[in-house]
Amino acid sequence: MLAIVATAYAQQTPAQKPLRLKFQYTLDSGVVELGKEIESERGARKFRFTKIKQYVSNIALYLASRCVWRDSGGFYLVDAEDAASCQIAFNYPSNLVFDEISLVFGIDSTTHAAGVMGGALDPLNGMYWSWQSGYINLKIEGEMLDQQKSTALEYHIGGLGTAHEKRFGLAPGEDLTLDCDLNPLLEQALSANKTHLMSPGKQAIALSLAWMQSVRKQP
Amino acid sequence: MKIRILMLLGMPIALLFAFHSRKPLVFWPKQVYSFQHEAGFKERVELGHLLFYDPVLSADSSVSCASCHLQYTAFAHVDHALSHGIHDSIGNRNAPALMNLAWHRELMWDGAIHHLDMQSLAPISHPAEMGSSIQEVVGKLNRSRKYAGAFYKAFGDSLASGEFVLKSISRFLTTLVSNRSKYDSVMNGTSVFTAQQKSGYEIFRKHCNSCHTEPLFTSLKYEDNGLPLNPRLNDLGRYSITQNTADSSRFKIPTLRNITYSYPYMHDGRFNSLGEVLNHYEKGMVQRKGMQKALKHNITLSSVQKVDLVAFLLTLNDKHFLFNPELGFPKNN
Ligand code: HEC
Ligand code: HEC
Repeated sequence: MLAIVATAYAQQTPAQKPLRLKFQYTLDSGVVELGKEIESERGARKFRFTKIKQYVSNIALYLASRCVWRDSGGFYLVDAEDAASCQIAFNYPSNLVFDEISLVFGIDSTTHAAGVMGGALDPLNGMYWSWQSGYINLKIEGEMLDQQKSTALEYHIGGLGTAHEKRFGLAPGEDLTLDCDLNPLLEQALSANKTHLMSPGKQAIALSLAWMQSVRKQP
Repeated sequence: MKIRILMLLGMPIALLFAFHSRKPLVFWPKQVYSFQHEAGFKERVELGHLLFYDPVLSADSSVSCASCHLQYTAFAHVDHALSHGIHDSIGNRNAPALMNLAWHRELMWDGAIHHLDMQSLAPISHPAEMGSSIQEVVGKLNRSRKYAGAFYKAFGDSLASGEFVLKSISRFLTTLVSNRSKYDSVMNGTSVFTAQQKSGYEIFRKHCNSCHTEPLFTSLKYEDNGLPLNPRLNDLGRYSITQNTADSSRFKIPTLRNITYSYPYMHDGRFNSLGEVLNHYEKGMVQRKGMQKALKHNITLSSVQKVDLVAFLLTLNDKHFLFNPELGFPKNN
């Protein structure tokens, strides 16, 4: 009897291995610190950011393009202001073999259309539009400093079509640091003279795709 | 023996017919929001009821949901075409009557809100309405602790959160059910229309029911009913949400239940009486692309027909709903 209970218990909780996922916001190769001036290398523009937040969800591990494990934690709000939120740690079965990790940047459409939720998804976090329903998947706020002039920048990117899955090669035992470079998104927005974008639609989708190109695994 | 069997068989069939004849003449669709099954529903409704009437939700604690949504006027904002908010600022749209919201998947004149839970975020954050934010509201609620007990009863946690505040208000909103009008009693066989009301009902079925569909008296779709564009507001309705030109000038079809109480009418409150509304359908409509067949031509009614139609619309008034103390200003607040 005891033996049965013991094996059942062992089966329920196989040995676990931790995986740490770290997010770092950068401008080209410089690391962004909120409230501090930073210069871009390419455009030679100066910025000061006050808020950078994004949702990450549906973390899963893949082997040969097949999902072998899925995180039950759900949704994470990665907030540059809160260092702890920029590190996501979870455990996976230690005997698991995988070669890729998959993340969704943003909130899937089912959750998007659902009712109010708590935790990372609580509208208290300021990542929900109030004038129209929908999560903001990525929020970037700050200013562009141009000689004497300062231009406010405000990008709230969300709505349908702005959440994207991305996979990165990863071996068991490895941790992952992702560099999220703000420059491609800013270049794209500023070249169209967009200093503010606060609603869903085509422009939001275009900027969300630029964002996806700039999230890279740190070598 | 045979007769006995026949009788035994006949009984249930006869019973079936007896019930059949009392079958309501019109069926309600399935609710979109069925929160009533969740644990703590009653306590959440009670809390939502208190919050709905509490000005703590606005920036300077002067405006509550009920300031714009008054029970006696079917939870619409009477007197003001464009609802007032804090600091006497004027919003862009007329506050609609609130009822049978458990059947409304999307909210607002343009359907901007796609879940009832999220509805309250809009007025709380709108600078012309309550001018606050959910962060501020939750902070105030947790500092005052007045509702700690109620939050605990409803959610098992005495600390308010955005989720709890929004959920309790949306649960309360689903209890704003209006289904006890004369029309309803006619449909469930406990009353009959007068000849005038019956004639009005037929006119209604012919000209209005395709959009103001029974029994909710709205199909919940977005349509263009030919209102000339108000140049001061330039409100294109559903278009502002979908950016689809076909949706230009389409607005969510409002219910006609309790309609005599919820004037002024239309998204900008441009009409003050049902007479003006009928005049609009008779000779005020601008024809635009994409308008439904029902409104492709003016709706011309004789003066007798107009009186009959209004007599029918009056049967949609539900006194029980308008004066039910369970929905009114909370007594022990
Ligand atoms: C200053 C006036 C004002 C206040 C205060 C206000 N509302 Fe409203 N409400 C409006 C207006 C105006 C609309 C329509 C807005 C639109 O369509 O863009 C509306 C729309 C609604 C709707 C949508 C109804 C439908 O049929 O689509 C609901 C539900 C609602 N309000 C609930 C509330 C709740 C709950 C509160 C308190 C948290 C509240 N309102 C506070 C003015 C107000
Ligand atoms: C093609 C659809 C359609 C038909 C048919 C139609 N309506 Fe409407 N009705 C609407 C829409 C859409 C609105 C809201 C328009 C707005 O505010 O921009 C509306 C608004 C109203 C309102 C104002 C309600 C309020 O709360 O503000 C009344 C009253 C009304 N209609 C009565 C009628 C009557 C009576 C008929 C039949 C003679 C009729 N309607 C036929 C679509 C229709």
